[in-house]
Amino acid sequence: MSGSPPFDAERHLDAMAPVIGLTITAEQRPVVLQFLGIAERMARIVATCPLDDAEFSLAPVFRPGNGGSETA
Amino acid sequence: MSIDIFAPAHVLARRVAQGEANAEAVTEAFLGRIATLNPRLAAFTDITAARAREQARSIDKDRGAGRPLGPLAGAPFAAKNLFDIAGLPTRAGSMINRERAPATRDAVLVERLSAAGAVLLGGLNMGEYAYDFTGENAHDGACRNPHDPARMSGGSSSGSGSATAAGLSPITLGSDTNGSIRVPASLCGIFGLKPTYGRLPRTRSFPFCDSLDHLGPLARDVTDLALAYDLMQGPDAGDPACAQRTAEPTVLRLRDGIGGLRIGVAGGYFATDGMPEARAAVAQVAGALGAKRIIDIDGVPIARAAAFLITNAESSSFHLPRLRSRADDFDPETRDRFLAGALLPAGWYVQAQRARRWFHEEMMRHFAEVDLIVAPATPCVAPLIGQKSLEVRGETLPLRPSLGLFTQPISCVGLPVAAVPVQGAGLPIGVQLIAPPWREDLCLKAAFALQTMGVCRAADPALLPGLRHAGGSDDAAARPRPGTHANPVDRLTDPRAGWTSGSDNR
Repeated sequence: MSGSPPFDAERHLDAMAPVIGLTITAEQRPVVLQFLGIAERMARIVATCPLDDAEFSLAPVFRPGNGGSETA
Repeated sequence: MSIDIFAPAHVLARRVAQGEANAEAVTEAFLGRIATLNPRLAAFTDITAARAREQARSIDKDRGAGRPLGPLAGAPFAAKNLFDIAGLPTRAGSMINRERAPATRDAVLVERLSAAGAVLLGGLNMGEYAYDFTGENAHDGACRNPHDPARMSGGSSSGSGSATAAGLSPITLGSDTNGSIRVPASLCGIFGLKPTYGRLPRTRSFPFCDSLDHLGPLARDVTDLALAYDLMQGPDAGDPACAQRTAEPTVLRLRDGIGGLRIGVAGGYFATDGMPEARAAVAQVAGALGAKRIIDIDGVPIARAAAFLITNAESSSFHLPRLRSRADDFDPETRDRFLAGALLPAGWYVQAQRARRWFHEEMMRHFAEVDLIVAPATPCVAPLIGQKSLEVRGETLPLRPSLGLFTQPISCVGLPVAAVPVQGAGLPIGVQLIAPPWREDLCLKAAFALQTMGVCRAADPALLPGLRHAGGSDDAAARPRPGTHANPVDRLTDPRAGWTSGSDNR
């Protein structure tokens, strides 16, 4: 995530929780912020993955018509 | 009638088939042991005694009438309570789910084992919604380790680990998204198989994270592990992620040996400096398998981080309606992680799915050089219940995520793994045998070789006075060492041939 501004977990929580209809109580808030911080550290690690910027291959693949409708 | 409670399931089934024991007596022995020990272990959350007795009577009747019996006829099994069991709400370790209507039909894997004659004893404790490595559960109580009930069973398939190790059921079913079969197998000292992603259908099991959820067996004996796995193979239309592969039986190939296999030991991220029990276990297994080559795998922290984000984002999105309306009814240990996961930026998740694809290619490059990789399963033996932190390489880490340090990167890319138990000076600890995709046979052959050599075995829990002998007769002295039965699969030609399963959507 080089070039992205520092992640502000508190601002993110305050903006996003109402958008998706979540109420974070005062009791829950410190722990939720802690886990958001862990997730952000994980995202920074993932961002170091040496991906080809011309390739976009996600792990899940959807195969229409062959996704469980047949049995071998 | 003497029932050896720690005998492998396939031996119990053989005794039933040969008329040396009847299925009802076997079932009663295990139900009695559960009644005695479960209050101390909290391994079972539901006991399906009436169903078990009815099936056992039916098996005895079939045998008396000369009708063919399934390969596991009369042998008990139990399932993590995220598998649908007809007549029970599928609680998935939660309080919320137990308000669901009872399942009208068993999960496919429960159906397949039942059709093979295995007798379901009940549903097993687990971490809430499978988001757990400890076995602690705010609703059903902490599932305890039979080797020392003050310690964790590991999770999230906590009841599967504890029940199997305690001799409450020789075979159990679990699920593994980031290590939830391998962690309890390691801490409880039993064998566990996490098959390749997409191998076993998840139909009618309660989901956690679609991209990473696997189902698989746990057992005290490798032949049981392979047999249960074989009997559950084959696609099912109810799971779109299930590969359209016909069954590839393994049990008859267990004795092929490991000659010619190129086996490496994972180094770098998987190094066990400062983890004496894990280090000793890996050295023992690697030595027995003749594995000398150290494999340094690039990008393991990336894979672990990707698995973390994928799990957090998918599971939280799945539970969002419940988080909106009933957050207080969650176990607080899972709730706050789900709440955070619901807020993750989409870009983090998408990047994690790209990284997962990249790490898969990295692992495939290594499998061009080796057939099997040995790695630790957990950084430590079973921690004390309630423990919150863990010392790893001189650093204090939060315990919950750290128990999956070595398992999470592997399930991230869906590789098949057998967790094999090593009995150290005190508590057991597991080692992972990791194979290329769709080569469960290699994991199982190596596990069988280790069991036959006596390097890996599921030790009877001996730390609790009175625990070993509760229930049936524990005639361990008369029991052959695992893997040394004259012919452990003598009834089994192809376990899936010559007998018709009751599962109609295979």
